[in-house]
Amino acid sequence: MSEIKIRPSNPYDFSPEELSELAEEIRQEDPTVEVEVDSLPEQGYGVTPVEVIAIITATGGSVAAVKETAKAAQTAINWMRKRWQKDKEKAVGPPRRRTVRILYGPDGDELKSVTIDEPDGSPEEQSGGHPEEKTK
Amino acid sequence: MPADTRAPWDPPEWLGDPVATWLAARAISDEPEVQWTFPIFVWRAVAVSPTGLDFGYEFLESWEETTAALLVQRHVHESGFGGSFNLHLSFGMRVFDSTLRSTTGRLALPEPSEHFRGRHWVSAVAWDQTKDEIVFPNSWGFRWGDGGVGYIREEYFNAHVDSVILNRPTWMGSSPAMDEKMKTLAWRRGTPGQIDQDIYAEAWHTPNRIKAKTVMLNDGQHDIRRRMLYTFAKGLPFDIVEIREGEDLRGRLHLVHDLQSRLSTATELWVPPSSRRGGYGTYLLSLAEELASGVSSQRLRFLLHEADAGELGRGRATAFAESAGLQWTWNSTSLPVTVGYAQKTIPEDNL
Repeated sequence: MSEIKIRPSNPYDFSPEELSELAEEIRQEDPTVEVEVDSLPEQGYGVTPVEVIAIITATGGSVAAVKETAKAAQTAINWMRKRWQKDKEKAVGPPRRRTVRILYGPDGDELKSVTIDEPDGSPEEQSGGHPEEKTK
Repeated sequence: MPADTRAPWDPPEWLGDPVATWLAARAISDEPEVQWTFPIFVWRAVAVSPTGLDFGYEFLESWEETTAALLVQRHVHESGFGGSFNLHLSFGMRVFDSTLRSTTGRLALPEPSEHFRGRHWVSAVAWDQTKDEIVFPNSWGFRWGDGGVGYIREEYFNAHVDSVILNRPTWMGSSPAMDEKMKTLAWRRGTPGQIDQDIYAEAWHTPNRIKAKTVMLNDGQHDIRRRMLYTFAKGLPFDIVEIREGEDLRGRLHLVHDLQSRLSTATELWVPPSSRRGGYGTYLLSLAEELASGVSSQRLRFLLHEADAGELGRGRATAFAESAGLQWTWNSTSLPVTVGYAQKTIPEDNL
């Protein structure tokens, strides 16, 4: 069984209800995954224009664990894409860029980073994201 | 002195590589694992360097003080000085959905239904007097605002800016030495007592020398180095003192003396993490008391910044206050953001 943490970069970007919704969607995709929301409190200044969420896996690199993490990451990407589309339809001004970062282990080594942006919100894999997009 | 070709808003040279300094700032905070931090740690990271006493930081408290500083920054730049010779201003503010989505860069007061999205820190680079707005280059890319540039007006500033830090050279700029120079220049021009913009700019680069002494602490020789300044905004006497053992910073004290209310306030008393529990804080406290007595202050106050008031910091600050016989008061303020202060009355026989 994989253990996955969901951690927003900015605690003010997502309500607890929204994060619970994402956790539930990941569980529904794969009931064997243990999902925990891990939102850290604000520590000073650091808002970025990008809405960032990290999917952190602490489980070892077995084939099953890698598959489970990839599935959870895809769920998070789809969820963020829906947020982006809703934002584009309703918001005044351009929608905020979204990034999903997939991290591994206690030091948070980045496995992958996917960005959702204009013109159509298609997810794009990034290599070496902007330092300001990094998650606590 | 070399002619300076940098723009007034260029980051100060002494800040070095901004990313490296930001990482150093996080490393000396109580919570180095978090991504967000407080800019005061950036300035402390700079203070650690062997030339740390050449630069100071002070807190501004209003729109008027901030715009006045930006005017001086421009005049100093126009007189041929900039970079390390000049002032650098930055401020922290609350931001909302409309801030994040701005296509003009002009910050508007949020609607009641708008979400608060946290706090953000930017450099202030100019005051546009015709539009009465402060110009800031944002770090959110060229897609944000006016090609990456933002503008803040007094209304938003008063409602949502919670901290303004002025970084300044201490080896020149507003100090007793500069004061003397201005008087001399005015006298030489045949207008004693009349300080105009030209005299101010010319006197700006008067050298402000360090006063130093050597003391034994923890069985080792330490240098106590002090620069006497005036606060930029209110012109109050302002001491910056550091303790060094060789090149290593062991502690730093900023002490502002309000002669009218006879209150000396330590806006900074900081001991780097690796030097804690070595008695340096206690030494700086006794030094603060000595300096406060020297200007006949009746009270000595130490501010606890929000940046130092995490779970660890609060306990450390209150324990320090208790052991030093200071009275503790929890009191939240903005501009600067503090959560409390420790205070003591200076005995009459010390005055």
